[in-house]
Amino acid sequence: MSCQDDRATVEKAAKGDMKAFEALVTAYEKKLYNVAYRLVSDKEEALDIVQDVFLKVYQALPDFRGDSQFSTWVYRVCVNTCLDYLRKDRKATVYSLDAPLDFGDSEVQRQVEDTATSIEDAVEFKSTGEEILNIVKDLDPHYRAPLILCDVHDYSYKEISEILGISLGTVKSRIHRARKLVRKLYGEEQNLHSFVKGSEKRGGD
Amino acid sequence: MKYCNFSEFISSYIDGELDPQASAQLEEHLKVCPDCKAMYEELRHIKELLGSVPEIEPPDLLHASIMEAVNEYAIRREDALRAERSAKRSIWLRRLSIALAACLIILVASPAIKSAFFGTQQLPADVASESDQREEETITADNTETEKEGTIVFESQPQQPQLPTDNSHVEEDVQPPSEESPSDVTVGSEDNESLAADATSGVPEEEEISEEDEETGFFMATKRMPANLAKEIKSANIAIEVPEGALGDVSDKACAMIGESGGSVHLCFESVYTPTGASGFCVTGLVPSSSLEQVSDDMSALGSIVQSDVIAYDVTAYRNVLDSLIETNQMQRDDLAQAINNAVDAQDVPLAQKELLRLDQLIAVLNEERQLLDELCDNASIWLWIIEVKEE
Repeated sequence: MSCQDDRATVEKAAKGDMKAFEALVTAYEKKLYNVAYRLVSDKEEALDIVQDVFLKVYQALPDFRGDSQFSTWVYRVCVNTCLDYLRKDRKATVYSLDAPLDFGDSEVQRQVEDTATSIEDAVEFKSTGEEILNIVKDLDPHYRAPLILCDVHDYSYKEISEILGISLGTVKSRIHRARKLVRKLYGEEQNLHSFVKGSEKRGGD
Repeated sequence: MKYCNFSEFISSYIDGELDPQASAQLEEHLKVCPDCKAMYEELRHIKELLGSVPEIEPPDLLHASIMEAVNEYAIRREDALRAERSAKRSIWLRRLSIALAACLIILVASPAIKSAFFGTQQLPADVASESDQREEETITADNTETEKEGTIVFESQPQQPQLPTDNSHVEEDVQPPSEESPSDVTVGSEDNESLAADATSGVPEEEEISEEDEETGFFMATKRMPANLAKEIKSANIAIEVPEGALGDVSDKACAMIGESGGSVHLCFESVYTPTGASGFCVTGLVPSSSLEQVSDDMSALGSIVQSDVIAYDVTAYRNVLDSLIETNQMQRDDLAQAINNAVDAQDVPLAQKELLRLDQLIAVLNEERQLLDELCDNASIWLWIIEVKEE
Protein backbone atom coordinates (compact mmCIF):
# COMPACT_ATOMS: atom_id res chain seq x y z
CA MET A 1 0.00 0.00 0.00
CA SER A 2 1.51 3.30 -1.05
CA CYS A 3 1.51 6.46 1.05
CA GLN A 4 -1.18 8.02 -1.09
CA ASP A 5 -3.46 5.00 -0.85
CA ASP A 6 -2.73 4.91 2.83
CA ARG A 7 -3.87 8.46 3.44
CA ALA A 8 -7.18 8.05 1.62
CA THR A 9 -7.86 4.72 3.29
CA VAL A 10 -6.86 6.03 6.70
CA GLU A 11 -9.24 8.98 6.33
CA LYS A 12 -12.09 6.71 5.38
CA ALA A 13 -11.32 4.32 8.23
CA ALA A 14 -11.15 7.22 10.69
CA LYS A 15 -14.70 8.11 9.71
CA GLY A 16 -15.81 4.63 10.69
CA ASP A 17 -15.61 2.88 7.32
CA MET A 18 -15.03 -0.72 8.38
CA LYS A 19 -14.07 -1.83 4.86
CA ALA A 20 -11.32 0.77 4.74
CA PHE A 21 -10.13 -0.31 8.16
CA GLU A 22 -10.03 -3.91 7.03
CA ALA A 23 -7.90 -2.85 4.06
CA LEU A 24 -5.42 -1.36 6.51
CA VAL A 25 -5.44 -4.57 8.51
CA THR A 26 -4.73 -6.55 5.37
CA ALA A 27 -1.90 -4.19 4.42
CA TYR A 28 -0.13 -4.26 7.77
CA GLU A 29 -0.99 -7.45 9.63
CA LYS A 30 1.83 -9.54 8.23
CA LYS A 31 4.52 -6.89 8.75
CA LEU A 32 3.36 -6.20 12.28
CA TYR A 33 3.13 -9.89 13.07
CA ASN A 34 6.74 -10.30 12.01
CA VAL A 35 7.89 -7.33 14.06
CA ALA A 36 6.01 -8.62 17.09
CA TYR A 37 7.29 -12.15 16.64
CA ARG A 38 10.90 -11.00 16.34
CA LEU A 39 10.49 -8.86 19.45
CA VAL A 40 8.69 -11.26 21.76
CA SER A 41 9.86 -14.58 20.19
CA ASP A 42 6.51 -16.23 20.77
CA LYS A 43 4.00 -16.88 18.00
CA GLU A 44 0.97 -16.99 20.28
CA GLU A 45 1.93 -13.75 21.96
CA ALA A 46 2.69 -12.13 18.63
CA LEU A 47 -0.83 -12.95 17.51
CA ASP A 48 -2.37 -11.43 20.63
CA ILE A 49 -0.17 -8.38 20.33
CA VAL A 50 -1.08 -7.70 16.70
CA GLN A 51 -4.77 -8.05 17.54
CA ASP A 52 -4.29 -5.62 20.40
CA VAL A 53 -2.37 -3.20 18.17
CA PHE A 54 -5.21 -3.01 15.65
CA LEU A 55 -7.72 -2.51 18.43
CA LYS A 56 -5.66 0.41 19.74
CA VAL A 57 -5.30 1.79 16.24
CA TYR A 58 -9.03 1.54 15.68
CA GLN A 59 -9.75 3.38 18.92
CA ALA A 60 -7.25 6.14 18.28
CA LEU A 61 -7.81 6.51 14.54
CA PRO A 62 -10.35 9.34 14.78
CA ASP A 63 -7.68 11.34 16.66
CA PHE A 64 -4.87 10.45 14.26
CA ARG A 65 -3.81 13.80 12.85
CA GLY A 66 -1.43 12.60 10.20
CA ASP A 67 1.55 14.44 11.71
CA SER A 68 3.54 11.30 11.14
CA GLN A 69 3.09 8.63 8.51
CA PHE A 70 0.36 6.16 9.26
CA SER A 71 2.83 3.29 8.90
CA THR A 72 5.25 4.88 11.38
CA TRP A 73 2.44 5.36 13.83
CA VAL A 74 1.23 1.78 13.49
CA TYR A 75 4.74 0.43 14.00
CA ARG A 76 5.17 2.61 17.05
CA VAL A 77 1.96 1.27 18.56
CA CYS A 78 3.16 -2.24 17.78
CA VAL A 79 6.66 -1.83 19.26
CA ASN A 80 5.27 -0.15 22.38
CA THR A 81 2.75 -2.94 22.82
CA CYS A 82 5.58 -5.47 22.53
CA LEU A 83 7.71 -3.57 25.04
CA ASP A 84 4.75 -3.44 27.42
CA TYR A 85 4.33 -7.14 27.04
CA LEU A 86 8.01 -7.78 27.68
CA ARG A 87 7.94 -5.55 30.75
CA LYS A 88 5.06 -7.50 32.20
CA ASP A 89 6.58 -10.81 31.29
CA ARG A 90 8.63 -12.16 34.18
CA LYS A 91 11.06 -13.82 31.84
CA ALA A 92 12.02 -10.43 30.52
CA THR A 93 13.72 -9.53 33.80
CA VAL A 94 16.63 -11.62 32.58
CA TYR A 95 17.46 -8.77 30.22
CA SER A 96 16.94 -5.92 32.58
CA LEU A 97 20.50 -5.98 33.89
CA ASP A 98 21.60 -5.21 30.40
CA ALA A 99 19.25 -2.27 29.96
CA PRO A 100 20.98 0.95 29.04
CA LEU A 101 20.91 3.91 31.40
CA ASP A 102 19.55 6.59 29.17
CA PHE A 103 20.78 10.16 29.64
CA GLY A 104 19.05 11.75 26.71
CA ASP A 105 21.36 11.40 23.77
CA SER A 106 24.20 9.60 25.45
CA GLU A 107 23.87 6.25 27.08
CA VAL A 108 25.85 4.54 29.74
CA GLN A 109 26.07 0.81 29.61
CA ARG A 110 26.07 -1.11 32.84
CA GLN A 111 29.04 -3.36 33.03
CA VAL A 112 27.76 -6.88 33.40
CA GLU A 113 28.88 -10.28 32.39
CA ASP A 114 27.21 -11.45 29.23
CA THR A 115 24.90 -14.36 29.87
CA ALA A 116 25.69 -17.21 27.53
CA THR A 117 22.89 -19.29 26.08
CA SER A 118 22.63 -22.88 27.25
CA ILE A 119 24.66 -25.61 25.64
CA GLU A 120 21.51 -27.30 24.31
CA ASP A 121 20.49 -24.12 22.51
CA ALA A 122 23.95 -23.64 21.17
CA VAL A 123 24.09 -26.98 19.44
CA GLU A 124 20.59 -26.75 17.93
CA PHE A 125 21.16 -23.90 15.54
CA LYS A 126 19.77 -24.60 12.13
CA SER A 127 21.13 -21.83 9.96
CA THR A 128 23.44 -18.91 10.50
CA GLY A 129 20.64 -16.35 10.11
CA GLU A 130 18.51 -18.02 12.73
CA GLU A 131 21.60 -18.50 14.84
CA ILE A 132 22.06 -14.76 14.89
CA LEU A 133 18.36 -14.18 15.56
CA ASN A 134 18.57 -16.51 18.50
CA ILE A 135 21.24 -14.29 19.94
CA VAL A 136 19.30 -11.15 19.11
CA LYS A 137 16.28 -12.43 20.99
CA ASP A 138 18.36 -12.53 24.17
CA LEU A 139 19.30 -8.88 23.88
CA ASP A 140 17.57 -6.27 25.95
CA PRO A 141 14.46 -5.09 24.04
CA HIS A 142 15.88 -1.57 23.90
CA TYR A 143 18.67 -2.89 21.69
CA ARG A 144 16.67 -5.61 20.02
CA ALA A 145 13.93 -3.32 18.70
CA PRO A 146 16.15 -0.90 16.76
CA LEU A 147 18.34 -3.70 15.45
CA ILE A 148 15.37 -5.68 14.16
CA LEU A 149 13.73 -2.63 12.62
CA CYS A 150 17.01 -1.77 10.93
CA ASP A 151 18.33 -5.13 9.79
CA VAL A 152 15.22 -7.27 9.40
CA HIS A 153 12.72 -4.59 8.34
CA ASP A 154 15.11 -2.23 6.61
CA TYR A 155 14.00 0.98 8.30
CA SER A 156 16.18 4.09 8.23
CA TYR A 157 17.54 5.58 11.46
CA LYS A 158 15.13 8.47 11.14
CA GLU A 159 12.13 6.17 10.81
CA ILE A 160 13.35 4.09 13.72
CA SER A 161 13.75 7.18 15.87
CA GLU A 162 10.13 8.12 15.08
CA ILE A 163 8.82 4.63 15.71
CA LEU A 164 10.66 4.21 19.00
CA GLY A 165 10.37 7.82 20.08
CA ILE A 166 14.10 8.16 20.73
CA SER A 167 16.67 10.54 19.28
CA LEU A 168 18.70 9.81 16.15
CA GLY A 169 21.88 9.68 18.24
CA THR A 170 20.32 7.08 20.51
CA VAL A 171 19.24 4.98 17.53
CA LYS A 172 22.77 5.14 16.16
CA SER A 173 24.45 4.14 19.40
CA ARG A 174 21.94 1.41 20.23
CA ILE A 175 22.25 -0.26 16.84
CA HIS A 176 26.02 -0.17 17.02
CA ARG A 177 25.98 -1.44 20.57
CA ALA A 178 23.50 -4.19 19.63
CA ARG A 179 25.68 -5.40 16.78
CA LYS A 180 28.75 -5.44 18.99
CA LEU A 181 26.85 -7.46 21.59
CA VAL A 182 25.68 -9.94 18.97
CA ARG A 183 29.22 -10.21 17.67
CA LYS A 184 30.57 -10.85 21.14
CA LEU A 185 27.88 -13.39 22.05
CA TYR A 186 28.23 -15.10 18.70
CA GLY A 187 31.96 -15.41 19.20
CA GLU A 188 31.44 -16.89 22.65
CA GLU A 189 28.93 -19.36 21.30
CA GLN A 190 31.30 -20.45 18.58
CA ASN A 191 33.90 -21.08 21.25
CA LEU A 192 31.38 -22.89 23.42
CA HIS A 193 30.22 -24.91 20.45
CA SER A 194 33.70 -26.10 19.60
CA PHE A 195 34.34 -26.66 23.30
CA VAL A 196 31.25 -28.93 23.52
CA LYS A 197 32.21 -30.74 20.34
CA GLY A 198 35.75 -31.07 21.61
CA SER A 199 34.71 -32.46 24.98
CA GLU A 200 32.38 -34.94 23.25
CA LYS A 201 35.34 -36.11 21.23
CA ARG A 202 37.49 -36.35 24.27
CA GLY A 203 34.72 -38.19 26.11
CA GLY A 204 34.52 -40.67 23.24
CA ASP A 205 38.21 -41.41 23.34
CA MET B 1 40.75 -5.88 21.52
CA LYS B 2 41.51 -2.21 21.39
CA TYR B 3 39.00 0.06 19.64
CA CYS B 4 39.81 3.38 18.23
CA ASN B 5 37.41 6.31 17.96
CA PHE B 6 36.53 5.39 14.40
CA SER B 7 34.90 2.14 15.45
CA GLU B 8 31.86 4.02 16.75
CA PHE B 9 30.96 5.00 13.20
CA ILE B 10 31.14 1.54 11.71
CA SER B 11 27.47 0.63 12.11
CA SER B 12 26.29 3.96 10.72
CA TYR B 13 28.61 3.43 7.80
CA ILE B 14 27.24 -0.07 7.17
CA ASP B 15 23.70 1.26 7.29
CA GLY B 16 24.47 4.09 4.89
CA GLU B 17 23.67 6.64 7.55
CA LEU B 18 27.06 8.32 7.64
CA ASP B 19 27.60 11.53 5.69
CA PRO B 20 29.94 11.30 2.65
CA GLN B 21 32.82 13.13 4.29
CA ALA B 22 32.87 10.93 7.39
CA SER B 23 32.40 7.86 5.19
CA ALA B 24 35.47 8.76 3.17
CA GLN B 25 37.49 9.25 6.36
CA LEU B 26 36.37 5.92 7.75
CA GLU B 27 37.18 4.13 4.48
CA GLU B 28 40.71 5.52 4.70
CA HIS B 29 40.93 4.38 8.29
CA LEU B 30 39.73 0.86 7.54
CA LYS B 31 42.67 0.45 5.19
CA VAL B 32 45.15 0.99 8.00
CA CYS B 33 43.38 -0.37 11.11
CA PRO B 34 42.98 -4.16 11.15
CA ASP B 35 40.84 -4.11 14.32
CA CYS B 36 38.30 -1.76 12.81
CA LYS B 37 38.46 -3.65 9.54
CA ALA B 38 37.68 -6.90 11.36
CA MET B 39 34.83 -5.31 13.25
CA TYR B 40 33.44 -3.83 10.05
CA GLU B 41 33.49 -7.21 8.29
CA GLU B 42 31.81 -8.98 11.20
CA LEU B 43 29.12 -6.38 11.81
CA ARG B 44 28.35 -6.24 8.09
CA HIS B 45 28.05 -10.02 8.13
CA ILE B 46 25.60 -9.85 11.02
CA LYS B 47 23.47 -7.32 9.15
CA GLU B 48 23.47 -9.49 6.04
CA LEU B 49 22.52 -12.58 7.99
CA LEU B 50 19.67 -10.81 9.76
CA GLY B 51 18.49 -9.36 6.45
CA SER B 52 18.39 -12.82 4.93
CA VAL B 53 15.93 -14.18 7.48
CA PRO B 54 12.66 -14.75 5.61
CA GLU B 55 9.41 -13.22 6.82
CA ILE B 56 7.19 -15.72 8.55
CA GLU B 57 3.58 -16.22 7.57
CA PRO B 58 1.07 -15.23 10.22
CA PRO B 59 -1.46 -17.89 11.19
CA ASP B 60 -4.63 -17.91 9.08
CA LEU B 61 -6.81 -16.92 11.98
CA LEU B 62 -4.94 -13.65 12.57
CA HIS B 63 -7.03 -11.55 10.19
CA ALA B 64 -10.35 -12.90 11.40
CA SER B 65 -9.41 -12.51 15.05
CA ILE B 66 -8.39 -8.87 14.51
CA MET B 67 -11.63 -8.01 12.73
CA GLU B 68 -13.68 -9.83 15.33
CA ALA B 69 -12.04 -7.92 18.18
CA VAL B 70 -12.48 -4.59 16.39
CA ASN B 71 -16.12 -5.22 15.50
CA GLU B 72 -16.87 -6.28 19.04
CA TYR B 73 -15.27 -3.10 20.30
CA ALA B 74 -17.25 -0.96 17.86
CA ILE B 75 -20.51 -2.45 19.11
CA ARG B 76 -19.56 -2.01 22.75
CA ARG B 77 -18.57 1.59 22.16
CA GLU B 78 -21.89 2.31 20.52
CA ASP B 79 -23.68 0.94 23.60
CA ALA B 80 -21.46 2.94 25.92
CA LEU B 81 -22.12 6.14 23.99
CA ARG B 82 -25.80 5.58 24.26
CA ALA B 83 -25.54 5.03 28.01
CA GLU B 84 -23.38 8.13 28.35
CA ARG B 85 -25.90 10.25 26.51
CA SER B 86 -28.66 9.23 28.85
CA ALA B 87 -26.41 9.72 31.89
CA LYS B 88 -25.56 13.19 30.66
CA ARG B 89 -29.20 14.01 30.37
CA SER B 90 -29.99 12.85 33.87
CA ILE B 91 -27.11 14.82 35.36
CA TRP B 92 -28.33 17.81 33.47
CA LEU B 93 -31.83 17.35 34.81
CA ARG B 94 -30.53 17.07 38.32
CA ARG B 95 -28.49 20.20 37.97
CA LEU B 96 -31.42 22.10 36.58
CA SER B 97 -33.59 21.02 39.44
CA ILE B 98 -31.06 22.39 41.91
CA ALA B 99 -30.98 25.61 39.96
CA LEU B 100 -34.75 25.74 39.91
CA ALA B 101 -34.95 25.30 43.63
CA ALA B 102 -32.45 28.08 44.19
CA CYS B 103 -34.24 30.32 41.78
CA LEU B 104 -37.55 29.72 43.42
CA ILE B 105 -36.15 30.74 46.77
CA ILE B 106 -34.75 33.92 45.34
CA LEU B 107 -37.93 34.76 43.54
CA VAL B 108 -39.99 34.20 46.62
CA ALA B 109 -37.57 36.13 48.76
CA SER B 110 -37.27 39.16 46.59
CA PRO B 111 -40.36 40.53 44.93
CA ALA B 112 -38.26 43.52 44.03
CA ILE B 113 -36.18 41.45 41.63
CA LYS B 114 -39.33 40.01 40.27
CA SER B 115 -40.84 43.30 39.41
CA ALA B 116 -37.60 44.75 38.12
CA PHE B 117 -37.24 41.76 35.93
CA PHE B 118 -40.67 41.35 34.56
CA GLY B 119 -41.73 44.92 34.72
CA THR B 120 -44.89 43.86 36.44
CA GLN B 121 -46.10 41.61 39.15
CA GLN B 122 -49.42 41.16 37.51
CA LEU B 123 -48.58 38.00 35.79
CA PRO B 124 -51.08 35.27 35.09
CA ALA B 125 -51.50 32.88 37.90
CA ASP B 126 -53.59 30.48 35.94
CA VAL B 127 -50.91 28.96 33.74
CA ALA B 128 -50.07 26.26 36.19
CA SER B 129 -53.61 25.13 36.66
CA GLU B 130 -54.10 24.57 32.99
CA SER B 131 -52.36 21.28 32.96
CA ASP B 132 -55.41 19.72 34.54
CA GLN B 133 -57.66 20.65 31.72
CA ARG B 134 -55.36 20.13 28.91
CA GLU B 135 -57.71 18.13 26.77
CA GLU B 136 -60.58 20.42 27.24
CA GLU B 137 -61.34 23.16 24.90
CA THR B 138 -61.40 26.33 26.84
CA ILE B 139 -63.47 28.89 25.18
CA THR B 140 -63.41 32.37 26.43
CA ALA B 141 -66.13 34.91 26.24
CA ASP B 142 -64.38 36.93 23.59
CA ASN B 143 -63.01 34.12 21.65
CA THR B 144 -65.54 31.72 20.32
CA GLU B 145 -63.60 30.33 17.46
CA THR B 146 -61.83 27.06 17.69
CA GLU B 147 -58.25 26.86 16.57
CA LYS B 148 -56.94 24.42 14.10
CA GLU B 149 -55.55 21.22 15.39
CA GLY B 150 -52.08 21.44 16.75
CA THR B 151 -51.87 25.14 16.35
CA ILE B 152 -50.77 27.15 19.27
CA VAL B 153 -51.42 30.77 19.54
CA PHE B 154 -49.58 33.23 21.61
CA GLU B 155 -51.20 36.47 22.27
CA SER B 156 -49.22 39.54 21.86
CA GLN B 157 -51.81 42.05 22.90
CA PRO B 158 -53.82 40.47 25.62
CA GLN B 159 -55.52 43.67 26.65
CA GLN B 160 -57.63 43.67 23.55
CA PRO B 161 -60.44 41.33 22.80
CA GLN B 162 -59.11 38.37 20.94
CA LEU B 163 -59.75 37.06 17.49
CA PRO B 164 -57.68 34.12 16.37
CA THR B 165 -57.19 35.59 12.94
CA ASP B 166 -55.90 38.77 14.39
CA ASN B 167 -52.52 39.69 12.97
CA SER B 168 -51.22 40.40 16.39
CA HIS B 169 -51.28 36.70 17.14
CA VAL B 170 -48.08 34.87 16.84
CA GLU B 171 -48.93 31.52 15.43
CA GLU B 172 -46.65 28.66 15.56
CA ASP B 173 -46.98 25.02 14.65
CA VAL B 174 -45.09 23.57 17.48
CA GLN B 175 -46.21 20.02 17.06
CA PRO B 176 -47.19 18.52 13.78
CA PRO B 177 -50.92 17.94 13.81
CA SER B 178 -51.66 14.54 15.17
CA GLU B 179 -54.52 12.82 13.50
CA GLU B 180 -55.61 10.84 16.48
CA SER B 181 -55.37 13.61 18.98
CA PRO B 182 -58.27 15.78 19.85
CA SER B 183 -57.85 19.35 18.87
CA ASP B 184 -55.50 21.18 21.11
CA VAL B 185 -56.78 24.56 21.44
CA THR B 186 -55.23 27.76 22.43
CA VAL B 187 -57.28 30.37 23.87
CA GLY B 188 -56.85 34.00 24.61
CA SER B 189 -57.36 35.59 27.90
CA GLU B 190 -60.54 37.20 28.91
CA ASP B 191 -58.89 38.95 31.74
CA ASN B 192 -58.40 42.44 30.56
CA GLU B 193 -56.66 43.44 33.70
CA SER B 194 -53.93 40.95 33.17
CA LEU B 195 -50.99 42.07 31.10
CA ALA B 196 -50.41 38.59 29.95
CA ALA B 197 -52.75 36.05 28.58
CA ASP B 198 -53.01 32.33 28.84
CA ALA B 199 -51.42 30.32 26.24
CA THR B 200 -52.84 26.91 26.52
CA SER B 201 -51.89 23.44 25.70
CA GLY B 202 -48.96 21.86 24.05
CA VAL B 203 -48.13 18.23 23.86
CA PRO B 204 -51.02 15.94 23.06
CA GLU B 205 -51.12 13.44 25.85
CA GLU B 206 -51.03 10.33 23.74
CA GLU B 207 -48.05 11.47 21.81
CA GLU B 208 -44.91 9.76 22.88
CA ILE B 209 -41.85 11.83 22.68
CA SER B 210 -38.69 10.18 21.61
CA GLU B 211 -35.29 11.17 22.91
CA GLU B 212 -34.62 13.33 19.91
CA ASP B 213 -37.91 15.09 20.27
CA GLU B 214 -37.08 15.91 23.82
CA GLU B 215 -33.83 17.43 22.79
CA THR B 216 -35.22 19.58 20.04
CA GLY B 217 -38.38 20.31 21.93
CA PHE B 218 -36.21 22.01 24.41
CA PHE B 219 -35.23 24.78 22.16
CA MET B 220 -38.55 25.19 20.51
CA ALA B 221 -40.52 28.30 20.91
CA THR B 222 -42.42 28.39 24.09
CA LYS B 223 -45.81 26.87 24.17
CA ARG B 224 -47.06 28.16 27.44
CA MET B 225 -45.60 31.55 27.80
CA PRO B 226 -47.16 34.62 29.20
CA ALA B 227 -48.20 36.19 25.97
CA ASN B 228 -46.40 39.46 26.29
CA LEU B 229 -43.13 37.57 26.43
CA ALA B 230 -43.88 34.78 24.06
CA LYS B 231 -43.40 36.64 20.83
CA GLU B 232 -39.92 37.68 21.77
CA ILE B 233 -38.63 34.32 22.81
CA LYS B 234 -35.56 33.24 21.01
CA SER B 235 -33.23 30.45 21.71
CA ALA B 236 -29.56 31.05 21.50
CA ASN B 237 -26.85 28.50 21.22
CA ILE B 238 -23.52 30.19 21.14
CA ALA B 239 -20.13 28.63 21.42
CA ILE B 240 -17.73 30.61 23.49
CA GLU B 241 -14.23 29.72 24.48
CA VAL B 242 -12.66 30.28 27.83
CA PRO B 243 -8.92 30.62 28.34
CA GLU B 244 -7.51 28.08 30.71
CA GLY B 245 -7.36 29.33 34.28
CA ALA B 246 -9.77 32.13 33.50
CA LEU B 247 -12.98 30.32 34.32
CA GLY B 248 -13.68 32.45 37.38
CA ASP B 249 -13.04 35.64 35.49
CA VAL B 250 -15.25 34.64 32.59
CA SER B 251 -18.09 33.50 34.78
CA ASP B 252 -17.87 36.79 36.72
CA LYS B 253 -18.20 38.68 33.47
CA ALA B 254 -21.09 36.48 32.40
CA CYS B 255 -22.85 37.26 35.68
CA ALA B 256 -22.21 40.96 35.22
CA MET B 257 -23.68 40.86 31.72
CA ILE B 258 -26.82 39.18 32.93
CA GLY B 259 -27.05 41.81 35.66
CA GLU B 260 -26.62 44.67 33.22
CA SER B 261 -29.37 43.32 31.03
CA GLY B 262 -31.80 43.73 33.89
CA GLY B 263 -31.77 40.02 34.60
CA SER B 264 -30.65 38.21 37.69
CA VAL B 265 -28.15 35.44 38.25
CA HIS B 266 -29.37 32.58 40.33
CA LEU B 267 -26.63 30.07 40.32
CA CYS B 268 -23.06 30.18 39.29
CA PHE B 269 -20.86 27.10 39.28
CA GLU B 270 -17.25 27.31 38.44
CA SER B 271 -16.83 23.68 37.80
CA VAL B 272 -19.20 21.41 36.08
CA TYR B 273 -18.70 17.71 36.06
CA THR B 274 -19.98 15.56 33.30
CA PRO B 275 -19.45 11.88 32.60
CA THR B 276 -16.80 12.82 30.06
CA GLY B 277 -14.80 14.67 32.68
CA ALA B 278 -15.54 18.12 31.34
CA SER B 279 -14.98 20.99 33.67
CA GLY B 280 -15.83 24.59 33.36
CA PHE B 281 -18.43 27.02 34.50
CA CYS B 282 -22.12 27.33 34.40
CA VAL B 283 -24.33 30.26 35.13
CA THR B 284 -28.06 30.15 35.40
CA GLY B 285 -30.12 33.20 35.53
CA LEU B 286 -33.18 34.90 34.31
CA VAL B 287 -32.90 37.38 31.49
CA PRO B 288 -35.70 39.57 30.23
CA SER B 289 -36.62 38.29 26.82
CA SER B 290 -36.10 41.74 25.37
CA SER B 291 -32.42 41.68 26.28
CA LEU B 292 -31.76 38.05 25.51
CA GLU B 293 -30.26 38.83 22.14
CA GLN B 294 -27.97 41.45 23.61
CA VAL B 295 -26.84 39.06 26.35
CA SER B 296 -26.24 36.34 23.79
CA ASP B 297 -24.06 38.67 21.73
CA ASP B 298 -22.13 39.81 24.77
CA MET B 299 -21.57 36.24 25.86
CA SER B 300 -20.14 35.19 22.54
CA ALA B 301 -17.64 38.03 22.77
CA LEU B 302 -16.22 36.64 26.01
CA GLY B 303 -13.06 34.77 25.21
CA SER B 304 -11.29 31.83 23.58
CA ILE B 305 -9.56 28.35 23.88
CA VAL B 306 -12.07 26.17 25.66
CA GLN B 307 -15.38 25.70 23.93
CA SER B 308 -18.50 26.56 25.79
CA ASP B 309 -22.11 26.56 24.87
CA VAL B 310 -24.50 29.22 25.88
CA ILE B 311 -27.97 27.91 25.66
CA ALA B 312 -30.96 29.99 26.32
CA TYR B 313 -34.37 28.51 26.61
CA ASP B 314 -37.51 28.93 28.49
CA VAL B 315 -38.85 27.09 31.47
CA THR B 316 -42.20 26.42 29.86
CA ALA B 317 -40.65 24.27 27.17
CA TYR B 318 -38.86 22.48 29.92
CA ARG B 319 -42.17 21.81 31.58
CA ASN B 320 -43.39 20.12 28.44
CA VAL B 321 -40.30 17.98 28.41
CA LEU B 322 -40.90 17.05 32.01
CA ASP B 323 -44.50 16.16 31.23
CA SER B 324 -43.46 13.83 28.49
CA LEU B 325 -40.73 12.31 30.67
CA ILE B 326 -43.22 11.68 33.44
CA GLU B 327 -45.63 10.17 30.97
CA THR B 328 -43.11 7.84 29.35
CA ASN B 329 -41.74 6.71 32.68
CA GLN B 330 -45.23 6.21 34.03
CA MET B 331 -46.10 4.05 31.04
CA GLN B 332 -42.94 2.07 31.49
CA ARG B 333 -43.76 1.65 35.15
CA ASP B 334 -47.27 0.44 34.42
CA ASP B 335 -46.03 -2.02 31.84
CA LEU B 336 -43.50 -3.33 34.31
CA ALA B 337 -46.09 -3.64 37.07
CA GLN B 338 -48.28 -5.64 34.75
CA ALA B 339 -45.36 -7.81 33.73
CA ILE B 340 -44.65 -8.56 37.37
CA ASN B 341 -48.25 -9.65 37.89
CA ASN B 342 -48.10 -11.94 34.90
CA ALA B 343 -44.60 -13.18 35.54
CA VAL B 344 -44.07 -16.83 34.68
CA ASP B 345 -40.59 -17.14 36.00
CA ALA B 346 -40.44 -16.09 39.67
CA GLN B 347 -36.70 -15.57 39.33
CA ASP B 348 -37.21 -12.42 37.30
CA VAL B 349 -39.49 -10.77 39.84
CA PRO B 350 -36.96 -9.35 42.35
CA LEU B 351 -35.02 -7.63 39.60
CA ALA B 352 -38.18 -6.23 38.07
CA GLN B 353 -39.35 -4.98 41.44
CA LYS B 354 -36.07 -3.20 41.94
CA GLU B 355 -36.52 -1.52 38.61
CA LEU B 356 -40.08 -0.65 39.56
CA LEU B 357 -38.84 1.03 42.70
CA ARG B 358 -36.30 2.99 40.70
CA LEU B 359 -38.96 4.15 38.28
CA ASP B 360 -41.24 5.18 41.14
CA GLN B 361 -38.48 7.25 42.65
CA LEU B 362 -37.67 8.82 39.32
CA ILE B 363 -41.31 9.69 38.71
CA ALA B 364 -41.53 11.21 42.17
CA VAL B 365 -38.47 13.37 41.52
CA LEU B 366 -39.83 14.45 38.17
CA ASN B 367 -43.19 15.34 39.68
CA GLU B 368 -41.52 17.34 42.38
CA GLU B 369 -39.58 19.24 39.81
CA ARG B 370 -42.71 19.71 37.77
CA GLN B 371 -44.40 21.32 40.77
CA LEU B 372 -41.50 23.68 41.26
CA LEU B 373 -41.74 24.60 37.64
CA ASP B 374 -45.44 25.23 37.83
CA GLU B 375 -44.82 27.84 40.44
CA LEU B 376 -42.00 29.33 38.44
CA CYS B 377 -43.71 29.29 35.10
CA ASP B 378 -46.00 32.06 36.12
CA ASN B 379 -43.09 34.37 36.34
CA ALA B 380 -39.97 33.24 34.61
CA SER B 381 -39.32 34.10 31.05
CA ILE B 382 -36.03 32.57 30.15
CA TRP B 383 -33.29 30.64 31.70
CA LEU B 384 -29.88 31.36 30.58
CA TRP B 385 -27.77 28.33 30.99
CA ILE B 386 -24.14 28.38 30.22
CA ILE B 387 -22.26 25.18 30.25
CA GLU B 388 -18.79 24.46 29.19
CA VAL B 389 -18.60 21.36 27.07
CA LYS B 390 -14.90 20.82 26.74
CA GLU B 391 -14.00 17.16 26.64
CA GLU B 392 -10.79 16.10 28.29
